[in-house]
Amino acid sequence: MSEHDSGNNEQNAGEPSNADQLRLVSFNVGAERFAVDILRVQEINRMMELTRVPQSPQGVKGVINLRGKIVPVLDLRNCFNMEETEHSDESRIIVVEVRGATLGFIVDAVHEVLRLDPGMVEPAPSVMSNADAGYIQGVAKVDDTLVILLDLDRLVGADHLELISNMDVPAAA
Amino acid sequence: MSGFDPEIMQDFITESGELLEQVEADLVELESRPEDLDLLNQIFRALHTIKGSASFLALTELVEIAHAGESALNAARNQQIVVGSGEMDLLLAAIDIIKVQFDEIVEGTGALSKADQALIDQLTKIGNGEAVGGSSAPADVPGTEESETPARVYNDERTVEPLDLDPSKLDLIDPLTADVEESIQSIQDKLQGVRDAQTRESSVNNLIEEIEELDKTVDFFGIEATSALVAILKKGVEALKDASDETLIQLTPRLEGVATLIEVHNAALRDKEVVSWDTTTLFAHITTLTESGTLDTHQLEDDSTGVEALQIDGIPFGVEPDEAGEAVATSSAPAQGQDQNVQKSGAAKSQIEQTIRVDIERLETLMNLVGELVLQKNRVLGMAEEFGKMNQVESTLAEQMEFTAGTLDRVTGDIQMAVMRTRMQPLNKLFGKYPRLIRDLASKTGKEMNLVIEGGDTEVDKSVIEELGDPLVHLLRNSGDHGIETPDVREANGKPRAGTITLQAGHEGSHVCVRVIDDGRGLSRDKIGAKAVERGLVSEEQLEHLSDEEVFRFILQAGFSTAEVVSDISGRGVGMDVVRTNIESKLKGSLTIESTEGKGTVLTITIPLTLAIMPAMMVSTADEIYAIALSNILEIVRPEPGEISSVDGYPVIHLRGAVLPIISAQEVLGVKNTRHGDEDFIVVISHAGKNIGLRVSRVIGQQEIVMKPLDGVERDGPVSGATILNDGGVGLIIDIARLISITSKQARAVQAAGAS
Repeated sequence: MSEHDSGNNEQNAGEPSNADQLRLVSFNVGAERFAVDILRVQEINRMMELTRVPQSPQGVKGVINLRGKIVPVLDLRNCFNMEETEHSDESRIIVVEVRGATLGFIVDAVHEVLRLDPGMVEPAPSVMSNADAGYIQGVAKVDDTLVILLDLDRLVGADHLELISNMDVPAAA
Repeated sequence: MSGFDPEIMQDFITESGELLEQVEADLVELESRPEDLDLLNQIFRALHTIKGSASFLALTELVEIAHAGESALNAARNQQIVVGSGEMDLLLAAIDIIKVQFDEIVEGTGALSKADQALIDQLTKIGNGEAVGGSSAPADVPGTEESETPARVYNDERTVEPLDLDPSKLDLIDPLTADVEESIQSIQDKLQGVRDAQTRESSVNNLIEEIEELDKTVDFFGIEATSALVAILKKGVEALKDASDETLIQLTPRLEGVATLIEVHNAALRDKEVVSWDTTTLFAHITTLTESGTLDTHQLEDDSTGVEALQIDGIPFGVEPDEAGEAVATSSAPAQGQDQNVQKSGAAKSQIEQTIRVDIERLETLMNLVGELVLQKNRVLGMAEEFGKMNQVESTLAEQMEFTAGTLDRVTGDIQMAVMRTRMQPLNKLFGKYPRLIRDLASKTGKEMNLVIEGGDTEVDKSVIEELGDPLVHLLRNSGDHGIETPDVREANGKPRAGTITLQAGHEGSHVCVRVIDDGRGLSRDKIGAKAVERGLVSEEQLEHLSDEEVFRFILQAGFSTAEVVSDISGRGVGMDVVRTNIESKLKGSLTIESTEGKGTVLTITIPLTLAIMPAMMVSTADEIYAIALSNILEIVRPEPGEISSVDGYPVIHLRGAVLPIISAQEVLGVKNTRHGDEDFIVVISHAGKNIGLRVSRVIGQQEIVMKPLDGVERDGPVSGATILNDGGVGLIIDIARLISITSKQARAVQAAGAS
């Protein structure tokens, strides 16, 4: 059920293949192309049945059973304030580790692993796309397509991961 | 600090740590009955063991303070002093230092902190028979004690005198007594060998050699009584060589007894004391046996032991002070007493260990694996059910499948129970620490209070013990600090001056209840109510409709304290809310409060036996599946349309005369694709004394679920965790406490309407 995309569709975007090269998993959300550091990606799964959690933080679509571990799953469309759509056959859940927690992201489609020279990555322009630029590490142009490098730590705001202590709900409220 | 194997160190820490906890608890106990010789001996023995192990590991700082404490205890044991509160403070201070040293050993910080010399001196003074605050005369010079301290006679007819030994020889006591101990153990082993005809001859030869060695060592001290014992032992052993079977039966136990006596002499020597018994009869019998080989009276049974032999020959051994704790049992059941003596003497007889220590991590792993096994079992059960429904499967095959699944179910259940039991520990492990807490609290607050512990042998899961500690400390402190009044106030109210706090534990169904009961001033509804109104938690009007228990529950709110004086113990209003949170979220339990003003307060903690696996009822609402802890379910009903009505606009169900508020699971869980038409079932759930009905679409069935954390995504939702379903999907566990608190407004309205 898990489909490890490493190595299959690799594409040499930059010319030199030295140790400094960035290796990124690229994927689509809506019409845009994004990428995250491959070392952060644990696995990539086909869509699974999600269990909705009542009153969960915004963006959390539900939880999945990842071989006995309960993993929360976020919809990146939601994070980017895009309109939510039905999931297709192409939809994938990318499982990553962020600040010690395991999380899943729903993306519309997963593409090849990119090898980029760090020099090819430019800082994010202040105004771009319909997403907030805070979690954008930089942008790179690959084959005439703009790829947005995501900063996972920033993307997953503290509110998604924070362990919620059992707050007091006053009995009289 | 030392080059010892970390494993040995670890063993020392675990074993001595337990002993130390015991010592501390016993000491506090001792304060209430300072005359209890059994208890004193028990404490002495435990501290002695700690000291012994520490000296083996060359922990000189620890040995030093332990020794000082031990000598003070010894003085009490010998009735030179009575342990009063002054002495107790010093002894507890010594225990505290040892605890610090333990921590340092665990951390491996190198050198251990040294005990305050003043403390050591004071304890040593007590050890010399001076009461605290007594005369400041210098300690007696060793060796002059004899003239001042008369010989004492114990209830086992031993005589104890201080050792009068040339000071130059004193330094050699330790190594020499160690040698004697070793010889005696080996002699006792070999005496066992004598009983077997095959090994008799070689055993006797070895014995004679061994005894000759022993003779030389014992000679050094020049103690007549001990030397005489060795001499008679030698004589007896020599006679064993050609003894008849009958003589052997009579003689061997007696010789074992002699060896045991030498051992006791030797142990006393280490404490610079000389012990002796009237051994006339024993010696006479042994002599008779070695010469003529027969005894007319005082016959022993076939497999008599050394201690029994001593007893039959007029030495009520087994009542020796070191074993006085067991002595009571000895008189009625000598065999048992003997067992304990064997253990105590450390003789390497074939004593099979009944317990082993297991790394907690291994148990955790086992527990996790069992969790997985339970999940897979559930899946197999689900598949077997599906199998049975399929038409194309041959019926015998389906039956077999069902049978196998059933067996698997049962075996898995047994394994689960067995593994769970390995993690169970008695609550005494926790409770043992509290007498000290209450004692300190009493001296800090100037109140008088006693702690009564009941049901400390109730066993709960290790994780429960860990999580229960903090809440209990809070509750006990609260009871002592706020609950119990000052002695004068109590007297004025016609209560005994000393307050009593009772810590009570016991099983109630699949739960364990722990109660903290005090006979103090109780909670004041008026005061708490006023404070709650002042803090805006409730309006005056609402307050009237609240039950006492509901009003009392306000003290569980963060920052809520009615104590007029904030002490450094409690009263800042932090604590009770933490207690509640710990109990509800970490222990999956509940806390209830009962109180009568002027009479006292009862706080009840109800917790499940284990936290990892729980029996649950699976229900579905619309198309979502949820688990409800079975322990929270009172019943499940399928109401007739007429049974549901509404009170104050809220839906209720009339159930055998009672009116219960009901809520829709779809609503409270925020189900998106609602299907209100099909909520046919009502699950009546109960928590902390409140009952509500939860409307669900379908009741799927009972299942053992493995609780998995949701890692924060549940936020404020009424779910407390997740579990894996039979089909591999995820089901959520409904948090009953939260659900009830969400609906408390509704419940109150229904209750108020019902009352009016």
